[in-house]
Amino acid sequence: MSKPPAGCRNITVLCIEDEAELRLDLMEELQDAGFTVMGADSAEAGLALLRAQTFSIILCDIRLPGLSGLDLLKQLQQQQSNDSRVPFIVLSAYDDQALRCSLRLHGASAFLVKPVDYQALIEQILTVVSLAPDV
Amino acid sequence: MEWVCHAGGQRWPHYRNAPQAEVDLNLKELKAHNYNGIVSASTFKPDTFNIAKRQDTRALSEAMQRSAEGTIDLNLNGPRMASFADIAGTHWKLVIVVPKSRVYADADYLNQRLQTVGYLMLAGLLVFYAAFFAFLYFQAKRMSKLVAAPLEEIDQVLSRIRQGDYDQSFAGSKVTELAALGQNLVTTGAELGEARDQIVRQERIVAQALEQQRQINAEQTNFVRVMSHELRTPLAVIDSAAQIIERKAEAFSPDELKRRAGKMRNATKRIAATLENLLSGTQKYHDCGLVEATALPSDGPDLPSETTP
Repeated sequence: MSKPPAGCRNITVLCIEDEAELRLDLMEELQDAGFTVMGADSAEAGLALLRAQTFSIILCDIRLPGLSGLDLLKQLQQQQSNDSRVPFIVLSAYDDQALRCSLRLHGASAFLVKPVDYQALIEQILTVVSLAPDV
Repeated sequence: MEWVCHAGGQRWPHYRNAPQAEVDLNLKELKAHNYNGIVSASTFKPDTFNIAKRQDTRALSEAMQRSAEGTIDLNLNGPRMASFADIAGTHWKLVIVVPKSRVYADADYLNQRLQTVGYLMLAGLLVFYAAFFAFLYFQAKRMSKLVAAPLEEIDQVLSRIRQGDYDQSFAGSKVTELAALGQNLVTTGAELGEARDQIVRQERIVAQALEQQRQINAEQTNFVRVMSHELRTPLAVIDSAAQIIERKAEAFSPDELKRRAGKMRNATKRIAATLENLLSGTQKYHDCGLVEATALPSDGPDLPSETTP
């Protein structure tokens, strides 16, 4: 991987993925890229981390035990104002147009289908965070 | 009245029916006339006795001058007909004057009889036609009743059929055609009802088939989604491990490489198991015509049903 951009270290990423091996790989890649990463294996665990600290961006799987990624997105949409909303990138093994539309409607910033190219993911994170109003 | 006139210029009537002639000519016979004295005076009678000098008989006189015999109409105290003819061997003419009514009495009588007969025939015809038309009128009324009631019933039957009440009956009619029409209508209504019921049954069958097809389509769509997820997740693990090894292979120890290769193999086994389940499900589909989605691993979340344009 090329040298990470200078601003990566200031970006904190919450990675919510129930597939442990994939979540660990994601965290490893993003940390190697210079991001500060925390992981959660469920939406509920992710919500607890969100209440404890602030993140620059959320990476979230759609299919999760308990609350789904879409449920989490809806809750965040209700809790956060437009100005303070944390950018939300969806990682999903489902590639469904209706799902894409629903996620877009509830404020998702991007939708990536697994398997994900990590370089593309990092670039996507940087782009989304740069466009977010509070970063 | 019968006159006998001299053929010369002086014509003196001789009356065979004196009173009527006196009335017609407005004269009074000169019974006490002294002819000897008159002859000496060259005059037999006054001019009122001369038909040539009277206004009302002058036409007769002229006709007598023109021809030996003939007839002429006069007006002498009413319409009269005068007929005259020479009396052979004399210079006298016989003039017969009769009322015209008496001349045409027979014809008038016949005319009256004919008129009477005509009037009677006319009256008879009038009575006949009055009776005939009355008969026609009552026949028409009777026929109208015979036709109107069944027609009204047919109209009601039609109206009920139009409103969807297809099970109808018809009381019948003495008019054969109407009775046949009513029965045909009842039969047609029953056939329409049967056709409607059949359509309803067919619609129900089609709706059930559509619903079944919709469920199959939904199951198939869900199956594809589940399959996509079940294949993409281990693929993502494999791809993730491969990307990391590709980037950091030199930095990994043999044990670390083995661990990551093990992750990749586990994920590959998951894919193999999923494909095996897929093949098993497909076999069941071919065996009984149904997709047994429960035979496939399916622990994913419910996909949102909402969409946005």
